[in-house]
Amino acid sequence: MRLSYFITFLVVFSFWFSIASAQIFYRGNDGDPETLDHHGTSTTSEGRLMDDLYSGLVDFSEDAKVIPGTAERWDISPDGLTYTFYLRDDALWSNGDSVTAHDFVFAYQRLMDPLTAAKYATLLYPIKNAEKVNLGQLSVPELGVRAVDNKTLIIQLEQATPYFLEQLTHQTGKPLHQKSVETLGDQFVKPGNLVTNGAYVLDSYTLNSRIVMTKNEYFYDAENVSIEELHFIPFEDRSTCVRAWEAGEVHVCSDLPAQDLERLRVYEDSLRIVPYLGTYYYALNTTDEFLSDPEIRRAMSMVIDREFLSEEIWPGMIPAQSLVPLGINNYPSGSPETDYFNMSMLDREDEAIAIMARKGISKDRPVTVELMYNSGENHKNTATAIADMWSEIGINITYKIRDAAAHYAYLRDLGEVQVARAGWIGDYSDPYNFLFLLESDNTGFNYARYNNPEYDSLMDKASNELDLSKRAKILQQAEKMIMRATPFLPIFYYSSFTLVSPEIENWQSNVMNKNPTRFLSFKKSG
Amino acid sequence: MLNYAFKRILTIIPTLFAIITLTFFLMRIAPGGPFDEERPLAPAVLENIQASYGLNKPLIEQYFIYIGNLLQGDMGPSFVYRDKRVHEVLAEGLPISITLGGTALLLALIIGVFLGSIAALNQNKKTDVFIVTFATFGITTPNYVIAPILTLIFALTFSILPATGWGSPSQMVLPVVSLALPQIAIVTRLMRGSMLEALKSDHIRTARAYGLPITHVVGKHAMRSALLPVLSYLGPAAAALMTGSIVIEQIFNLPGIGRYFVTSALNRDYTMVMGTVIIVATLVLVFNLIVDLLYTVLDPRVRYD
Repeated sequence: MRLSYFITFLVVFSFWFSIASAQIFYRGNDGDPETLDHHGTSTTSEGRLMDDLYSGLVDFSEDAKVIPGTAERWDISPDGLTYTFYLRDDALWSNGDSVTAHDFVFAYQRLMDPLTAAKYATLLYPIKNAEKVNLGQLSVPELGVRAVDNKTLIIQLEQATPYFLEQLTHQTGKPLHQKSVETLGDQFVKPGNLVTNGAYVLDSYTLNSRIVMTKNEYFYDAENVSIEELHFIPFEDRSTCVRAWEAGEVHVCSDLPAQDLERLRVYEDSLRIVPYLGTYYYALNTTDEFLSDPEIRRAMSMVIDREFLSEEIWPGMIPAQSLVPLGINNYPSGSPETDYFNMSMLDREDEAIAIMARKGISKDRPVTVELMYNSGENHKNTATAIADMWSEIGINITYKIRDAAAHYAYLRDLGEVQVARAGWIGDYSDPYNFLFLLESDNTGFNYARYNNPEYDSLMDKASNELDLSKRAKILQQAEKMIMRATPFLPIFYYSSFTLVSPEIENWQSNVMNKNPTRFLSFKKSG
Repeated sequence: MLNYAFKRILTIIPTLFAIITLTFFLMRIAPGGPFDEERPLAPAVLENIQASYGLNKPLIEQYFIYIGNLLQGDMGPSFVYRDKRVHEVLAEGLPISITLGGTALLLALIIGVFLGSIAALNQNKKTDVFIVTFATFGITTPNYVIAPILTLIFALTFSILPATGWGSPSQMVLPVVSLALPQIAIVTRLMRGSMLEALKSDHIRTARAYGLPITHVVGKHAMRSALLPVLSYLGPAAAALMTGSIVIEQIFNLPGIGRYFVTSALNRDYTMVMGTVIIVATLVLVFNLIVDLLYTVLDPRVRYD
């Protein structure tokens, strides 16, 4: 008799326990945020937190399309310069205050205020006077953002920017609760202080352990938010996340170690490998005596067997044939084709050898070129394999390896460089966000020091073109130009690697690698 | 002895000061800075950020500001965790590292001393061979091999212990064991050697010749002198264990401070590098002092006054 009571208790308890524990969503993340003040953030892992905590004027849908967020609708003036956003009446902060247009004005002014020193302020430079305000040349109130009334916000742009709505999905476009930021200062980000307007609200934050969020009952779409409690768990080491996932301790791993991908294929649908909005490339210094010859640069690109690299050297990466990655928005027919990618690898190699022979360079009469990269197993393997391919056309590689901080500081300070590894992850889904890297006045990112007035004028033309399909054609022309000139030598498109528990429903993998928790749910058992 | 201890504590202060000064300037020689990332910052933004951290001031001025703040107990802001000061970050993680390292150390001391003594008392017998084999295995197998194997067995195959995390006693088991195993092995070997030595010494042979019980001879007399080399080893080892291990922390995803020794240097998180150096230096100096003081307790020949 007693035993049966005990068994009943156990059954009830375990049922209750499974229900209770099933409510918490354990979400692995790449690391802890630098700060929870979104003006200080820059990484995708920080973006994930902000997407759950805040709702911007526009937000991401479950498949990372732009959808209305706190603004339920908007008008764009015919010249593309004025955006009028109409905020929802039911948009509330997590303390019950109404979300007003003033909160957005406050946030954008704070973002551009030089004193905030926001890392990503540049992203919203399309806003009128933004750059000048950010550089301290104009006062903050002169920023082209104003509240007409509590629920109407007008943003004026410097020039028509067809991807402006895409840019607003970034965490820099999210609002701030003016009152708490002003009264609490830099303490406003602490648990208990942080007031947010997204699907979740911050509950606690233990460094290197977890960030706990609970459902925000004031969120305008709270009735459709299924997951009640959410723990973001930072994993500096990707393999550790995989072990935690296999032990059932987390539901999602946000990134996976490349060497484990083959083994993880046994998890079938739980393993998601999808193209990610980023390109891995080598910058070839066009001002270097040897590399200034576009034919040589072209031969160097031609001879790289990208299929081999993505199969054997860095599994999961996608062979790149353009600077702009696959699946990007506002680029309907995609990147233009580059002729040699249609040739067989052997033919490509022959042609590259022929080009180099014309320059008097061959395997027997090689030249030495320095390749610079930041330390890391995958970077090293890729560099070694490419050096081997280049040796076939008479280029001997010497390496200069630094850790990431030193590598990028060197590039930024325009140190002597011949070939340098770099990568770019799109901040918003538009080809401009990749092609602008090679504009001649882009001193921060144009590691190739490519300077082509024709290219610059094409980019200018694209910026002023409001018709999206005409604009796409101009950008294609521009991309064709740089693929021919090869100042950047694209190697891979990035992929995102994710493990998603079968218990989680509606995880739609996408090129932005964005999956707001508000759209996810637990699979109903039975 | 008190006088000696006081003198030693006084020497700790200038030593620490020298270490802090040296680290501060050495760190700045490394190329790159805390804000050099894959995505370079716009020059104007970089300037603003550097100004907000005072990095645009002359280095010598930065140094004096840092020392001034440090004397008031403020280790400055972390460049990587902008919401926290360095001492807040360290205060969150240090108790975890100390708990983990302290438990492993205690385990190593108890088991290592026990096994080492047993091995010495059974020199060249089967027990000895077995223990020495275990110790050799323990010394030669690094943490990063043991930890994933233990996880594979106990967490992934039999599901009796958690694979990651910190908070519950069960989450402590695998990290503590992984951290302790190599230490147990080292202490065992040290203890075996020194116990053998002690057993051969004249006063022990005399004691045994008098017919004193073996447990008394070993436990009271031999142990004292045999513990000295172990103690010398444990001083610096304690400092290393209690400041965390990046390997164990990463494998078990523990929120200790071991990671900062590597990541803060790579990220050029200047203030965090200083913080970790100060903690390690202090612990090494303090533990060395403790060991030296314990010597007088264990070995009557050592006198400091």
